[in-house]
Amino acid sequence: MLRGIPLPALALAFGVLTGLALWLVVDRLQTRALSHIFDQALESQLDQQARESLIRFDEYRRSFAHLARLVATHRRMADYLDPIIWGRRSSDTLQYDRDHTPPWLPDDLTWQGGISPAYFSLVDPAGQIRELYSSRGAALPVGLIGEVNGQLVAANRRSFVTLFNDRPWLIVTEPTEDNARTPMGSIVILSPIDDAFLSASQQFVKSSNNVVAILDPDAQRILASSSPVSVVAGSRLAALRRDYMVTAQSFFDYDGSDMNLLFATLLPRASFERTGQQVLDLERRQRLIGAAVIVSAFVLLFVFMSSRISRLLRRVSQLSRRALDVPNSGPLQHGNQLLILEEWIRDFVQLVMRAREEMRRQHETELLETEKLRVAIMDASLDAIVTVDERGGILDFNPTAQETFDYRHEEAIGRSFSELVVAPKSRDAFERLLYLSLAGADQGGALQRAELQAVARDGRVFPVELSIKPVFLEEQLVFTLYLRDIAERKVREAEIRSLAAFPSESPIPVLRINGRGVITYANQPSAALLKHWGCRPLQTLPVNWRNRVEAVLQTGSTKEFEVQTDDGIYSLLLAPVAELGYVNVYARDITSERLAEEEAKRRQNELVHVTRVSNMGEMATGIAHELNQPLSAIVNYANGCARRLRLDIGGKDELLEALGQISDQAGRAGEIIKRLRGMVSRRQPVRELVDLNVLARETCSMISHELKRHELAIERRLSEDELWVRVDSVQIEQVLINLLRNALDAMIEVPAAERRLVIESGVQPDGMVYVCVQDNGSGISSRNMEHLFDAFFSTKESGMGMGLAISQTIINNHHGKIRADSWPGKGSVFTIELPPNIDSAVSAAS
Amino acid sequence: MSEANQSKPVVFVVDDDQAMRNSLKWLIESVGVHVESFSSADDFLAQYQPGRAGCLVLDVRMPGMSGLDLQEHLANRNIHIPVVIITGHGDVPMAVRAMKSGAIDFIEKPFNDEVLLDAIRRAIAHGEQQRSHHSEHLQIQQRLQNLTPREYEVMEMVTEGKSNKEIANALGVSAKTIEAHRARVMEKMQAGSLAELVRMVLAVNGAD
Repeated sequence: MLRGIPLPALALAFGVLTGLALWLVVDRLQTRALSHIFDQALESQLDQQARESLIRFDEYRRSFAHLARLVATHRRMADYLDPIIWGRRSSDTLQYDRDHTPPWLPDDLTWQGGISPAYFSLVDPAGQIRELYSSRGAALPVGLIGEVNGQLVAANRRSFVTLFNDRPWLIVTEPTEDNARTPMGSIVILSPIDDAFLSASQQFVKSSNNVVAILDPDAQRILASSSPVSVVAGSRLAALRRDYMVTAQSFFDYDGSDMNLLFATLLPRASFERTGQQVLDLERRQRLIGAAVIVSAFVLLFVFMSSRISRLLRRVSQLSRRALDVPNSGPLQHGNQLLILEEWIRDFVQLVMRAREEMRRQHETELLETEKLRVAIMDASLDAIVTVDERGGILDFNPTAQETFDYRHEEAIGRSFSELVVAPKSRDAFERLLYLSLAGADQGGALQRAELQAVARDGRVFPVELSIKPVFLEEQLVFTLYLRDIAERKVREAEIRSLAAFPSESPIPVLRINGRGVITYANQPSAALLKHWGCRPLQTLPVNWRNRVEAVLQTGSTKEFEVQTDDGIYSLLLAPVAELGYVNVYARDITSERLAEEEAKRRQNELVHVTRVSNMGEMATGIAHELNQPLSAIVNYANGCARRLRLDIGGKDELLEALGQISDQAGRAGEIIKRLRGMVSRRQPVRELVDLNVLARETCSMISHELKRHELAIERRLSEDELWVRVDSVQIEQVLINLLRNALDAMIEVPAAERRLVIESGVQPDGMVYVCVQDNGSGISSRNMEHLFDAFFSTKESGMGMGLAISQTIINNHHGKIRADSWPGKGSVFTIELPPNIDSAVSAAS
Repeated sequence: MSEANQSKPVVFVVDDDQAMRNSLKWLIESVGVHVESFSSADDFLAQYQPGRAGCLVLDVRMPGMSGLDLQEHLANRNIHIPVVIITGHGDVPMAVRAMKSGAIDFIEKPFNDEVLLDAIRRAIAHGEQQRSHHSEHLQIQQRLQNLTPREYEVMEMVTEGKSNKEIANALGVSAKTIEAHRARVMEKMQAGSLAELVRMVLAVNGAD
């Protein structure tokens, strides 16, 4: 804010304000001092005047006493007071007035000096007033005489002031004698102390300003004053103090008076204050003039200074513009030059500092970056980088170099490069290379490169590739050496060469086929496959194999195929190399494996068969019974027919129906025998499309005899839908028979009425078709559960322990699963899961 | 059921195998005997009314209640119907059990038709006899029930072979009174002679 105001204006404002403030302060102080001085003077004057006034009053009063004595001792008084005449006088009071002066008063009683008592009275020795003279013609206030008498009797006082009717009275008494000096009472002078009295007492004083008054200190009131106009009798002292300086004094020489009255001197204030004001006004005028002069001089001085500073500023701004190229300092000419100068100096200093800092930082950053770059290159380099001086001493040795040669940085520094890491036989070559690099550098030629033998700390000698770059610094010549350990590369090269020979050495067929199905490589053992395909290397594969190669390339995952050639069975692993667009084929002769597998399968079948046959043995009675049924039925029908024919009873239709029944039963017997043969015969496993429910039903009927023996019926919960599976019916029946018979065996301990055997079929949520056999027999202990499907594991005394093992084999061969759940003491559930034949299910449905 | 049917014997065939059932029916009917066939023991029990004349031809092995079970069941319920057991393969313990339970015969499949028919015939005859015995018993029992307690007392003593005098002494009445009781007992029991009365009482008590 101050910045915008020019310096002289500021100085003017400052001067005026400071002067004003100073003036006000001085004025206040001076006024106070002056009034103090005046007050002191006034007080002393007042004291003086008061004292004088009192003295005058006192003298005036005394003059009354003198008058009384004069009258009392006058010859006339003595003459008048003839005891015979006066003493006999009646007690009535003789009244005198102005026109009738009493005879005892001297004629020439001078009233000079203003002494004019209001009343003279003669009092007899008994205290009775015998005669009274009222000089002013006014009657003596009633009661005053009594008062006076009381006073006179009470104290033998000659002169006193008393208060009567709120008015002060001066009472003077003097004893009188007759000519014979006999006391004849006394003369009493009574005079009211009123304004006239008071002014008379002060008549010789010139100053009329003063007022004297009698003060009743108890009531703080004026009783009488010398100037009744300005100081009214009865006015209160507090009110008077506003206009007057009041000094109250007690009367002296009035001992014995019980009147508590004060003598007050009043001086009007107005006169003093006027004088003080005049002095003050004069003082102020002088001060004003002085202040104006000083402020003007002050402002002039500042005007001069600011003009000088302005000039200085202009120069300085020019300098800053030129020196620092700073375009500021536009509004320099206006405003407070001092502040502007200060601001400018501050800015200028900052600018200079900033400029310096900037330059320093730039310089440092450049240095640092260069160094960082260099260190980064050195550190990150995969090559060993070594800097040597012109004599071959190592100056710098980067981390790769440390690693390659196994020397620490500080170990390498200062050593001769050639002696430290170059193999003795390569040292000459290295020296030559140094020389050549120099020569090359002179001509601005390329880097010198060479392969040398280097030696590491542990004495290992290995090939390195070396290139040299001479660097001409200001003071010296250094060489930068780039070395690369090429031992590994050489090994790799050799490895690649040997790897290339790999497939050709392989005893198994290895081929490479590109995306179009062209055989780009085939080793010697591949001949059999090539013969099978009827093509040679660089020819295209048959179309089905071409498709397989394409598919494998697309999916990107390996896949295995089998191919049977004249020479044997091969398993071909097609491994795609997607990024190169070809497929590697590794073939494996699996002829013997396949043969072994088939043998195993044949053996297994045999085992299945043997188990089945042995089962059949166990079931023989059951089968016999089953055969018995239709046979008995046939016999019954036949006998029935024969009897009817013999007796010639029965209709033809009846007989024909019976014959039909015979035929049916014979068929039934035939079926049983056929199935029996199927069970017993040794044959290759087949796969046929059957409904699992049909198999379950047939199985149930096969063991119906055994069921009867156990006195129970199977609870069938077969699904209503047909469950098509592609299986070997005989084998699946074998499994089911096995499970049902196991269930029957498990229920031996259960009372016949409580036995429960359920066969259930259906489709699982995962799509597998299942059939399960559930019993409420003894169950299987968890210990036995583990070995349930192991061969030769049996809990039965007569069991071979092959049943479940064979069942599992059979189901596994059908890509199904068999599992057991059991609750010991409560029963077991055996479940067979088989993959459904969806296509056939559809076709069968249609 | 008509009275004619009631009197005519029926062969009840119980076999779970339908072919067997039908063929048996065919064979047995060839000799003019009425056949009713049932597929299970429960079926039979549900429909059979006790007291019908005839016999039962049972297959031993049947799911649910077996032939032997049925036989025992009937005996327990005091139903006396003669039973012929047919079996697929006879085993001795089972045959013994069947015979002990009162089977008429135990025939092995396949069987000669004569053997079966003969057994059925015998069974029916046995049944008839049993039935007549049974009706006589019923009559005697009815008569016994008509006796007053005193008459029953007297009758018991008489059948024990005590004299009128002895009885009178034992019961503390006169011999004449006993005489009168005895005459009333004979009359009520429709016994022609003392021997007949004794036979009646024995028959009833023996059967119980």
